[in-house]
Amino acid sequence: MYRYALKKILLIIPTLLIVSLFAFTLIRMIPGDPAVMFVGDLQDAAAVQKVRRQMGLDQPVYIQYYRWVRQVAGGNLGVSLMTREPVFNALAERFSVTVQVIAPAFILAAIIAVPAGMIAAWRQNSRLDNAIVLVMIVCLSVPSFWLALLLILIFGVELNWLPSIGFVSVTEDLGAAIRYLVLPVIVLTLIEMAMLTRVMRASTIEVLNQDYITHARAKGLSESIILRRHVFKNAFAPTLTMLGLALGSLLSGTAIIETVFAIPGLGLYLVDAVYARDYPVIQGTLLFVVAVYTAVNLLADLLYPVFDPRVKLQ
Amino acid sequence: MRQFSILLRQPVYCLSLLILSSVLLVALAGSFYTPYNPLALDINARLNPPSASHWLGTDHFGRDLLSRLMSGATVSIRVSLLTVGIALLFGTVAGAFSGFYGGWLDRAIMAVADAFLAMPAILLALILTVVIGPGEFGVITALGMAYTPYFIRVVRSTVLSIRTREFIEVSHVMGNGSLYTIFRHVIPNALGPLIITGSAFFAHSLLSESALSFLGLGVPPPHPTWGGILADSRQYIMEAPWLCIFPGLAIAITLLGVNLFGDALRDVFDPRTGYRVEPQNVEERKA
Repeated sequence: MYRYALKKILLIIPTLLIVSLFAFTLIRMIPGDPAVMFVGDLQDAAAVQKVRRQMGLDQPVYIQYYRWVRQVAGGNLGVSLMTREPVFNALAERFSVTVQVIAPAFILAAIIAVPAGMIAAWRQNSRLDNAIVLVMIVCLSVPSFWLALLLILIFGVELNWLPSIGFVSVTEDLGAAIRYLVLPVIVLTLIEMAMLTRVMRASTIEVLNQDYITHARAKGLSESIILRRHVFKNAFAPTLTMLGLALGSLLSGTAIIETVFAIPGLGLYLVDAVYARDYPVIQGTLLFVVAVYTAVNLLADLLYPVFDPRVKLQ
Repeated sequence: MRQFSILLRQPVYCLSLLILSSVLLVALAGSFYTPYNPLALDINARLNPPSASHWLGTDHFGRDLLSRLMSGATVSIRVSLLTVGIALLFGTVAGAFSGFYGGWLDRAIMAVADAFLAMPAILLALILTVVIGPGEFGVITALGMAYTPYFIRVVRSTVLSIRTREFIEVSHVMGNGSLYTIFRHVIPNALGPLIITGSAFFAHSLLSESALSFLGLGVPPPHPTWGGILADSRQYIMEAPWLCIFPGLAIAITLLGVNLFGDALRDVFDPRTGYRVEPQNVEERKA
C-alpha cells in the first residue's frame, strides 16, 4: 500500500516540474519587458532599472527560474498588474466562490450519473438503456454557454422566477445564494452528468460480463443485491478516476459559465486577466488550477485500491 | 469492411451521417453562396424577427442571420478539422515513436504529455491564445497543442500492444528499417482507435472553438462564427431571442451528429466497453 502511494506521489514530480517550466517560459515568451510592463512607464529608465533588479531580471535565466520556483513554493505568485493585489490572495478568494458553484454540481452529477449508468448497463440495449444513452448524448451536444443563455431567457427573463446573473456568497445569505446558484449549477450538472454516466455504464457492462456475476446469479442472489454488492463496488473504481478528471473539466468549464452568469470566481478572474493581459494572474491561475487538479487526481488514485484492491499489487 | 456494413444497418448511424452531411453541405455552400452578404449592414432591418425575406431574422446591425450562420459554419468546421489534423499528425508521430522505441525517448515524451494533460484543455487553449494571439491561426494552434497529448496516449497504447506481434518481427527480419516498419505496419494498426479519438476531438474542438469565440478570444469580428454570434446576442436577449436560439441550435445539431457518429463507431470497433476516448481514458490510468 505504501509503495503504491509513494509511486503515485513520485509520479507527480516530473509533471509539476514541466508545468512550472512551461508557466515560466510562457511569461518570457510574451513580447515586451516585464519590468517596463510593471512600471507602466517607458520613459522612467531609472525606475525600470530598479524594478529589473528587484525582479532579478539581471540574473541568468536558470537563477531566475530557481528563484521563481522558490517563491511559488512559498505561496508567492506575484502581484496583479491591474489591481496590484497579491495573486495568491485573490486566487484563494476567487476559488472559494468557484467551489460554491462546482461542489453542488459535482455532487448532483455523481448522484444522478452512478445509478443511471448502472441501470443503463444492467438493461443494456433495452429501450431504457437507449433512452438514457440518447439523453446523455444530447446533454453532451448542447454547448454550456448556450444552455446558460436559454435558461436565463426562460427562467430569468420570461418567467422571472430566478435572478439572471450575479452571485451572493453562501456565507452572506443562504436563501439568496441558492437562488443565484440554481441556473449555473443546473448547466454544469447536466454536462458533467453526461460524461460520468457513460463511464459508469461502460465499466458496469464490463463487470456484468465477469464470471463472478454469473456465479452470484447462479447462487440465486436477487438482482438488486448483485447490483449493490458485486457490481457497484467493482464498477465504481474506474468512475472514481473519472470523478477526479471531471473536476478538471468543471474547473475549466466554469471559465465560461462564470462569464455568462457574472460570477466572480476563478474562471472569470482568468478570463478578465486574459483580456487585460495580466500575465502574473494568468500564470498564477494556471499553476493554481494544476495544483488543485493534480491533488484531486492523486486523491482519486490513492482511494482507488480501497474500491479495487487488485491494483496495489501491480 | 464487415464493420462498415454493420454500421450501415444502424438507424442511429444513418441519422448521424444525414446530420453530418447536411451540415457539411451547408458549410460548403456557405463558402460560395449566402442569401445575403453576411457582412453587409442594413440599418433599416435591425433586429428583424424571422420572416419570408430573412428566414432566421437579422442581428443588431441588420445583417442576415441565416447568411452569417452559413458562413460561420465554414469557419467552425475548417477550424475544427485543422485542429484535429494537427493533433492527429503530431500525436501519431510522437505516440508511435514513444511506444515503438521505448526507453528514455518514451519516458521523455510521456512526461511532457502527462504534464500537458494536467492542464485542463480549454484553460490551456485560453492561455495559449494570449501568447499566440487571437484569430483563426491562434485558435487552431492552441487547441491543436492542447489536444495532441490525448492522441499520443491513444497511439502509444496501441503500439505497445502490437509491438511484440509476429508481423512486426517479420518486418525487422526482412531487413526493413524501423521508420519503414512504423509507418507501414505500426500506424495502420492504430487507425481504429485514431478514428474514434478523432471524431471525439472533432466535437471537442467545435465546442471549444465556439467557446473561445464566445469569450471573444477566437476568430475576431466582423467575421461570423457561431460562438461569436451567440456572444453578441447576449445584449439583445430580450428583444431578439432568435439571435440566441439559432446559432446555439446550429452548434448543438452539429455536435449531436458528430457524437452519434462517434458512438456508433465505438460500438462497432469496441463493442464490449464503449469507453469514451477522452481525457478520461480510464483503462490507461488504471495501469
